[in-house]
Amino acid sequence: MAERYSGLRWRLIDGLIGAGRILRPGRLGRLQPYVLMLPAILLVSVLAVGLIYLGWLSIHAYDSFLMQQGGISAQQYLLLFEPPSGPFYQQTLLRTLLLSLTVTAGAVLLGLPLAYVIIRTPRRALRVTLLVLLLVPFLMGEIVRTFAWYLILANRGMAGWVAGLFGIEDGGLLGTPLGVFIGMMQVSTPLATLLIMPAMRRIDPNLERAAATLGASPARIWANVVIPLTWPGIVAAIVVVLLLNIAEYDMPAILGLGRLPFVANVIGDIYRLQQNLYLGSAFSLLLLVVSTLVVVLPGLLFLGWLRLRRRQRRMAA
Amino acid sequence: MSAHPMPASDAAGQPAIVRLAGVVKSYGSHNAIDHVDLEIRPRELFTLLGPSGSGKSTILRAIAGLTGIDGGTLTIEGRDVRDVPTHQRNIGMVFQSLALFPHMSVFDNIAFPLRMRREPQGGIGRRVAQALDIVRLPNIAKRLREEMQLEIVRLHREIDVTIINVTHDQVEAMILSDRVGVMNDGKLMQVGSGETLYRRPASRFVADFLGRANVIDGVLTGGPDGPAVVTPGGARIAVTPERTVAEGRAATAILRAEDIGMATAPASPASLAGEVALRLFEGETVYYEVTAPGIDRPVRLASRTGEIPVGAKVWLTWPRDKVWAVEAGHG
Repeated sequence: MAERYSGLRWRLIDGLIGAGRILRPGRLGRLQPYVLMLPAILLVSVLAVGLIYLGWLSIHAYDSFLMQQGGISAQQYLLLFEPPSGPFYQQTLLRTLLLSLTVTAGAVLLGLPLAYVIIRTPRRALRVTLLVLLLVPFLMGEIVRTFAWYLILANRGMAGWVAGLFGIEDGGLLGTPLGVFIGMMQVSTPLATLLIMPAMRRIDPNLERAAATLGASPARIWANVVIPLTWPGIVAAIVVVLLLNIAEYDMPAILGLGRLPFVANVIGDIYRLQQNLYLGSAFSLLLLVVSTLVVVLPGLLFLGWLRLRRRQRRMAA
Repeated sequence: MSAHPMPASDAAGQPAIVRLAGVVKSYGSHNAIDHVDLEIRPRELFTLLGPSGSGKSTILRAIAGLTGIDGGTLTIEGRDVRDVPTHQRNIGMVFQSLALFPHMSVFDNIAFPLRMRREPQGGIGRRVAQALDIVRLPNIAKRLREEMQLEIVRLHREIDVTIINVTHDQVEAMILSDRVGVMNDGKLMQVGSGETLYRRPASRFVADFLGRANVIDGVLTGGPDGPAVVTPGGARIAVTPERTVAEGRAATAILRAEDIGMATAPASPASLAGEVALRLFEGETVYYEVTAPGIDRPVRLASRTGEIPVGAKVWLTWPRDKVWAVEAGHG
């Protein structure tokens, strides 16, 4: 039985290799790289067309009463930056950035020891169990997960009950920054952990032992060996988690009770309630630019600092 | 910390710098370190030699504090280090994988222990330069492996440190070390200079592990020509008159391959008759296996000339004082 199964498997592999030979990309000659890139090019171009359309809409005036497009103007951007509507949008943007950064920092700080524990668990069965538990938050739908937190954080939920034990009334966390923070942490922490793990797994455990024999305390082993060698994973975790958090929609909408909208929620309202494609486009582009800057600027600053430090070290040596 | 400041002394009269007394480390029912007593003298180069899984690395890890011990005491410079974490034991460990920090330069790798000990920045630069001078970096790539071993011996004499080395390579152990400890199955079988272990092994295992030896079991018997180990098959293996086993006791004769002479005619009445079963050209010497009546395993020997072909009838001789006998069943 096993033999027949393995025979079938080999025939399948042979068939795939044969098919690959017939479809050999090598036959395409110089066109090969472009043909292979075709799906990516298609995907990126669709996104690019959408972006260009957003840009085009955002630089037009719009009469919301007549629901008519006007000429080219900076009207939408003035709405975002100038009173009376400007402060609300800027406050929303600031809230989005601050909460996202806090959640990202928290997720990476929790993810580092978590990844370390999972990787250094000697027993395979336990390690796999921990990994599966880490993936559980991703296995349920986002809405289901968010409403589960709604029940936990509500006034008559667990949070309210626990607060009640300490004599605090109305201790529910719905509609508070802490509530939104907790909800976002639940997805961000396992995600950060997963992104940190590959880099951390490549660290030879002997490096930590060697550092210890050379006189490094556990804290200094982390600072001088583990963190620097995990750095690529940490950067990946910061970038991905931060970008996903900046675009967060469900958590602020449901756990924030609409009192703490993120940019995505406000853009949604502009589109659905105001039906103003033009202002929505402008805010979307602003978010895109700001989040790009938030991710890219620190990276550039860090690279510059690294180069400077290396030069200083060389001078010192 | 209840350290015993009383310095432990060994046979050479020097206080031991590292001392293991009845140390046990067990994994489940298996003892990776099985009641080991060992004293390392200051400034010596000591090698733990043994097959893989014999516990030699576990001892090293225990000394470094990378693994805990389940019994016995372990002292470094007279201080019980049971509760002292690795980074406070003031040792250095070179791993087989070298475990160099890949994210650091050569300078930073060397400076690491100095930085951990919070040495001033200026001193670090000077001492790293000294370290690079010691290894003479430009020449190192050219050196062969064997020369590297000699280099370690030379370095060890120049710098004032105690080195504990771990290897399964007996030649490396004998070349490098002041003293060697042979390990098997968690137990320390024998400690001594390479030459002592080779010439005067205390057990069958040590004899078998170092060099190419014929270990032949029998009973030690006296006689007019001197003592011999007589096999159950009736072969007489003449052994050294130095007494290590009492007459009439089960004993193992240790006959080194390079000590055996071979001729096509009997050189003396004590010669052992046999027939060449295998001949392998090894370069410097020719390796032979000779079957002899009364000995169940073929006798292995190394010949310099190697003229005798397979199938030839031969007589084997050896200087009796080179053949050591140990009590049988002793390891």
